[in-house]
Amino acid sequence: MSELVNVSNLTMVYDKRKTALNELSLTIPRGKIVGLLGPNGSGKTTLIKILNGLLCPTSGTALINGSKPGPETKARVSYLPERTYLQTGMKVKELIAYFTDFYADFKPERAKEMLTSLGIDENDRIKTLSKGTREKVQLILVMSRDADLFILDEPIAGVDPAARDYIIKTIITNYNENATVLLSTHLISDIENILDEVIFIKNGNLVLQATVEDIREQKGKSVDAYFREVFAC
Amino acid sequence: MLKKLLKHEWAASWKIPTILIGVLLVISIFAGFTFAAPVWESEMGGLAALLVLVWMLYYFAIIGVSVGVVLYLAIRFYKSMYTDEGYLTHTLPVTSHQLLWSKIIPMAAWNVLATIGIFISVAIFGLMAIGFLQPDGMGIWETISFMTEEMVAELGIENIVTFGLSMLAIGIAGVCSGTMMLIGSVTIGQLVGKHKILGSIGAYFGINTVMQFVSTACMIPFMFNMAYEETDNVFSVMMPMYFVMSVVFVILSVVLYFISELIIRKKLNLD
Repeated sequence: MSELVNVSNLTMVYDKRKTALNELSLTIPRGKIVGLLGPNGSGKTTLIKILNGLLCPTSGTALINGSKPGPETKARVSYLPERTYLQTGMKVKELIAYFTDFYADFKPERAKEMLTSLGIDENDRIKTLSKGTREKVQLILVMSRDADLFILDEPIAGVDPAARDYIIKTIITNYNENATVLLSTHLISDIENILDEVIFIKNGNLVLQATVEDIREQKGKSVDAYFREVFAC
Repeated sequence: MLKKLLKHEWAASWKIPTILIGVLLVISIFAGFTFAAPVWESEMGGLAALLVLVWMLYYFAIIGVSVGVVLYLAIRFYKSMYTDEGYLTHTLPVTSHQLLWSKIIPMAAWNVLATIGIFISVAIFGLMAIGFLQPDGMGIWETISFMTEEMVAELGIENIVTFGLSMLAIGIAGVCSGTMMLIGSVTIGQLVGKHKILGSIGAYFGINTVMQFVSTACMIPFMFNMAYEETDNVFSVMMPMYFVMSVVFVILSVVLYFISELIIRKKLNLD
C-alpha cells in the first residue's frame, strides 16, 4: 500500500448547516512533505482534526495506514495543533516524561538536544515561558517522534521570522525519510521550498493536488503565485 | 496504558484537593481549641462572638471542601478533555474506555478522600469538644464507650451492623453516581453547539432531576409499606430501601458511563 492517508467522500457539516468538507476524496503518499493549502475557512483544520480523531465526520472515511483514527493510528501520527495544548502547570521535563510514557516512538534525547540548542531549561514550567517559546517546546515534542505521519497545523503562523526558519529547519532535519509531513499553512512562500506536493482545498472541496515540480513546470509559476491566482478574491 | 494515564492524572490533580482537605483539618483543630476557652463561665460577649465566628468559619470550611473538591474535579475533567488540553488528551494512543477510567478512578478516589477528610475533621472537632468540656465528668474514651454501649442497647448490634452495611452500600453508590454525574453532564454538554458549558450545567440539573425522581420512586413503596404496617422499627424499612437505592444509583452510573463513552467515541467535536 503506497498511500499513507486515504480520504474518501469525507463530509463534515457543523450544526446541520455549515459544510466544512464536502465529499472530499484524496490520498497522501508516504515519504513526502505535503502542503495542505487553502484560504481561511476552506476546511484544512477540519480535515486535520478528523485525521487526528478529534472530530467525527458526518459521513465518509479517513484512513491512515488503512485504519480509521483510533489508538492504533494515534500511536503513529504526531500532531501539532494550531493552539498550545500543554498543561501550563507542568515543567518541560515532565512533558518529556509524559511523551516518553505514551509514545513508543518518542526520542527524549532528541527533544533534550533541541531544547538545549534553543536555550530552553527543562526545569522551566510552561506557564513561565513566552507564547513563542511554548510553541517551540510543543514543536520540539512533536518532532521528536519517529512517527509515520506528522500533521502540522499552521506551524509557522504567529512566530517571528527567525523562529520560522528554526521551525522549518526542525521539520526538515527531524523527519524520517519514510514518513510524511502534512503541513497546513497560508504562509506559502516561507515553506514552498521544502514541499514535495501541494493540496489546494476551497470550501471543503479539493481544487488541486499536484507536485510542486509540476506546478512550476506546467504553470510556470511558484506555488505561492499560483495559489494567489486560484484563490483570488 | 491505563496505569500510565492514572499516574499522570493523579500527578496533575492531587495538589488542590490535598490543600483543601489539609486546610479543613487545620481549621477543625483550631475550632476544637475554642472549647478550651472559658466561654461558658465568663460574661465576655466579645469572646463568645469570636468563638461563634470560628465555628462559622469551620462550618463554611466543611461546605467549601465538599463543594470545592467536586467543583475542582469537574473543571479539571472539562479542561483536560474538552479545551485546548483535550488536543493532547485525545491524541494519545489510548481507547475511550481507558481515557474515561483514568478520569473516573481519581475523581471517585478524591470524592472518597474528601468524605474521609470531612469525617476526620468532624471527629477531631467532636473529640476536642468532649475532651475540653468533659460532659458528665468523663474523658474522651469513656464518653465514646458509654455512647457506644447506649447505642447497642437501644438498637441492637444486628441492626447497627446492617445499618452500617446499608450506609456503606449507599456511600459507594453515591460516589459512583456523583462521579458519573459530573463526567456525564460535562460530556453531554459537548453536544450543545456553541454553548457547551451552559449545556453541561443544564445536563447536570437534568441528570440530577432524573436521579431524584428515580430515587423518590424507589422510596415510595417502602414508605407506603411503613405506613400500612405501622411498624415501629424504622430500620427494617430504611435498610432495604437504601440497598435498592444503591442498586438504582449504580445502574444510572453505568448508563451515564456508556453514554459518555459513546459521545467521546462517536460525537467528539473539539472546537
